[in-house]
Amino acid sequence: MRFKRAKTTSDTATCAEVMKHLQSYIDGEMRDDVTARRVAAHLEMCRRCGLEFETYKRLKNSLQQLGPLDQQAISRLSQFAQSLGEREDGDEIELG
Amino acid sequence: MLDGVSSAMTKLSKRSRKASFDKYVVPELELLYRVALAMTGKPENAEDLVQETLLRAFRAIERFDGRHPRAWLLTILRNALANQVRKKVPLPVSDVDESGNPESVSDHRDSPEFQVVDQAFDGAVAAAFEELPGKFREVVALVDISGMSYAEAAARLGVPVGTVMSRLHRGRTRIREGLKSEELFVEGGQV
Ligand SMILES: [Zn+2]
Repeated sequence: MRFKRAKTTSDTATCAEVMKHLQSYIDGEMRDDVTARRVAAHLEMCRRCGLEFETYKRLKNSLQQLGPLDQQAISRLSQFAQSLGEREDGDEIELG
Repeated sequence: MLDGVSSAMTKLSKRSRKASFDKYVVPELELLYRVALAMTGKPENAEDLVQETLLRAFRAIERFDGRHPRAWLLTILRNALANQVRKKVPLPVSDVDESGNPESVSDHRDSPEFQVVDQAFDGAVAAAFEELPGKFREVVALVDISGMSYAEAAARLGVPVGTVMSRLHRGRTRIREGLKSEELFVEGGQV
């Protein structure tokens, strides 16, 4: 099907093509500049694909903020958790 | 004598409380810290938030039925954060943290409403990321968190680039599906 696109303008990808390349497009991993431009052109005009793009871009953006976990913080929290179990007066503990 | 009885009961309840806490809460520490970090954006705030969550969980553990500990803990964390936000937004300077610095509201990315949506989204993504099966999570971690190219991730894992692409896509799709079912993210609507 991908090769039968005589009716669509060749500088705009179809929805199916966009879905196929969307992840690579978001990651800047598209090998083929012509296809990348056609995807970009399609995203400009198709609301459904545009929303899909925005959603995955936002997801990636959010994932990028997850760094490696600070193991020292984890062990401090683990000690804190331990200390809760050892208190006589769990209900009376107040945080500073 | 009554004192003796009540102290024995206290010890018993203390022990079962600790046992439940160790069973349901302690294994989720990393998840909680991960989500807290995503929602607060700052390590020191994340640590405070997890402490507050642990404390609340400890107090409530006897009423917890043992089902879905993650969801239960994330609800506690969300409430603890909402409580902090309510306290902080109207009176930014009245709140002073342990180091004596006023919590600054200028850190907030936008209006409080926007921030809550972003926080919820980031927190839900962090939780969904933690839920991913290992082979998807490692690819997402290499590409999205460590910023590797597909080729670098493929070389690191010793798999073809096509495998990286398909695992990455499936991993992200799973995260997205996770967001839909996660009540953490209700506003925004487009996910
Ligand atoms: Zn489209």
